[in-house]
Amino acid sequence: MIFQMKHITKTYDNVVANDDVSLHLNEGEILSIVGENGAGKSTIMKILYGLERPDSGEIIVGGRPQRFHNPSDAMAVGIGMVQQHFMLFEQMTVTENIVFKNELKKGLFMDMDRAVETVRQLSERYGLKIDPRARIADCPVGLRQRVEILKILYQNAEIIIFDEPSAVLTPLEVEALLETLRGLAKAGKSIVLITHKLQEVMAVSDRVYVMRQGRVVAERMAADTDMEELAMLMVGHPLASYEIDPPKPGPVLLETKSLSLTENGRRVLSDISLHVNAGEIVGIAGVSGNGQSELIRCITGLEKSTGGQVLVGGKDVTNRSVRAIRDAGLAHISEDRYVWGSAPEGTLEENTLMVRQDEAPFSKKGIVNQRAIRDYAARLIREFNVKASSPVQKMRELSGGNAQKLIVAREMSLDTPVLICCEPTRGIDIGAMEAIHRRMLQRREQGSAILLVSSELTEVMSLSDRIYVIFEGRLVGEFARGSMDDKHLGLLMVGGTINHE
Amino acid sequence: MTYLAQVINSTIREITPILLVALCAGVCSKVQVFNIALEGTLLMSAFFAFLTHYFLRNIFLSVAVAMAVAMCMTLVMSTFIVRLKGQPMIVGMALNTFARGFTTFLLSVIFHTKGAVNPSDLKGLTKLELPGIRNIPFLSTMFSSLTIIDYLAFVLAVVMFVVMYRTVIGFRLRALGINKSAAGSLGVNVPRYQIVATTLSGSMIGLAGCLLTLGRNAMFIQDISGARGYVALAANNLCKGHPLGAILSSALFGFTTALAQSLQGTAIRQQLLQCIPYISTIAAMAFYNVYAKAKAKRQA
Repeated sequence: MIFQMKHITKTYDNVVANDDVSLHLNEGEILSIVGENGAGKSTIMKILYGLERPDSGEIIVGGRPQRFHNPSDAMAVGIGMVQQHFMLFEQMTVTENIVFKNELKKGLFMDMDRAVETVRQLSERYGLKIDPRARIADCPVGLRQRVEILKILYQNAEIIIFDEPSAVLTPLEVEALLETLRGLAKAGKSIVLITHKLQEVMAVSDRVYVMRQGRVVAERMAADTDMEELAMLMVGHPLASYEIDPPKPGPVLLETKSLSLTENGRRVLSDISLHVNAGEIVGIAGVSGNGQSELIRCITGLEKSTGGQVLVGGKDVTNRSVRAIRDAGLAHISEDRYVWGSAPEGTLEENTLMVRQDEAPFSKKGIVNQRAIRDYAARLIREFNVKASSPVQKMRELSGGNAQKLIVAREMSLDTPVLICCEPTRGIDIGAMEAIHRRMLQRREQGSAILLVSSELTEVMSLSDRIYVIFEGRLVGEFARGSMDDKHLGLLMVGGTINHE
Repeated sequence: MTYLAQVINSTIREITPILLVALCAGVCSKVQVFNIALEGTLLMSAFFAFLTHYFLRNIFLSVAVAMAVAMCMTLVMSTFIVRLKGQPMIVGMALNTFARGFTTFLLSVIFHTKGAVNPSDLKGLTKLELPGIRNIPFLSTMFSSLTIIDYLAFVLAVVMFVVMYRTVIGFRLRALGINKSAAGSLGVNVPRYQIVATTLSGSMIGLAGCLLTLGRNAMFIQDISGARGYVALAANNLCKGHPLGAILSSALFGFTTALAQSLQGTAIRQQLLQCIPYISTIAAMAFYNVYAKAKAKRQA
């Protein structure tokens, strides 16, 4: 047993983040901690890494009780953490990033040659291929994560914590990461993996803790469990599979005609013609970066298209202002919740008010009505189950899932005929995801036209009545529900063609 | 020929104060402390260099006082920005306004004047005569009556380059300027590094201040810094905080100032001439930004 946490309790204000949590890690094992957002798994790891201090309870590392005041204390006893958001010096080299704070020196000077050599040896020993002299700015995300891992290995960490490591990676990079995890465990390192992606848990872990509402609710050997059981333990009830009635499509509410976009001489979108009928969810499937984002930006007015037309409710709104397009009857749950979807520094009230600020009863002749705004925010927070301590807290203080729920609440409450959902459930937990999906299906029943863009193929496939496949800015296929399996779809998404026999 | 040597000579003397201030600005920008108080710091240290020399007649003490004053000003600036999270622009402008008012006030209280103090019996910094060029007419004019601080400015540029780009401490400073939270996550006390680094580099502004009031004869004129602090800020921007680049960008501004001086007495209007350094500052910045944008576009 390399470390142990006994009866850890931690409360923020009135919220109990960890309630009498006890867990342990064995040497050389891969331990997963799974749970929904807000289940307390990040808190427990922050405590172990010295970023937070527990109200009560004990941490034992190497047989001795420890008190961590900051990450350096944790690092000193061999605990390192690969954060979800990388902490790197972009304009510096891989080596410089790895040796920072423990530089190899010749007197006052940097000994770069020896540092490069050390990094090279380290990368070879653990099979983490990297060019020690490459600049971080030129490294793709997968390599940056590798640098973070090497940074921790360089400091002789024996215990390595990974916080949602696959959230930012492409599927290929995830494969490489899982391979790395196995390699590290084989080399004798002990690994804690915090995640809510159950495929990965099942692929690499030896043992799994499930957390819910601040408590450890189950401990399983990976060999003795499966994804269904873990998912059930996480949400506390069996997962719903959606029962979807056959569509009753009404008139076309959203349509693009040969929509095109050329940026700096490069064709980003070519002749996109699609339509979404009332009472229908239409999905766009594709590998990220094939023009989905630009397509949505052109439809919603965030970017000017260079050819073609956009019609909302039969009205031509091509390249009109965002306001004009929204007024024509369109709401938009945007791809990046903090860039386009909300003002992170604003309060929840302000964020729910956005778009409606000029409407009665929220304002009259430019004077806002605080009470109406407050009531409205409180109502949305309640109706959409947003976990918030107050309507005047800042947006960025909400967890990702709750922030997304608030944005969904705002956009859905506009009751527009057309709803655009762009990555509506990216990076959020199963419970929140299910809630959002149900809302979307409800809107479909009520006759809205919904356009769904998602890089999660299962999401597109389970919700959409029709699916368009996008590849390199072109629509390369259109299918009705059930007429296509995910293998064929996957092939189209990477530019393959289907062999009709 | 002699004329050219004279222009070069006055160019060098215009370069060095700007260079010294730009070197300080370089350190500040590398550790992400936006220091617009350079101008006020320069003015204060220039004034106190003169004041100390006027009363104590001790050149070493004057230089030391100037450096100390500059470091105090920089310490106040960085403490307000880093520890107290003040808006850098507001903090800087407050210090500049203070420096201007304070020096004008002391000038009138001590010397009972609002313009210039130019005591004829007071000598400036010792002039360093380079051995071996006394008999070469062109070179001797070019390097005539330069002080040790003028030479030191160029040496310091090289020293700063070595410190920032070759030593461990310089590496840490550059790194924490790139990503404060990354440095902090590895247990580096970022605010302390920022404050200590900026304060120490402030001493170079003190040297620049000495050049202004003691560089030729000892004298003080109201507002003697004459926007050199802002020009140095621009020079530093142009070279992106690189100490050796600062020599080139300071040279550009030093040259235009010298040019403006040497054209005095010609048909061109005085006011127009005085604009040259400032207009060239704006032009250089604009040109540089357009160039950088075009380069970024080409890479994309």
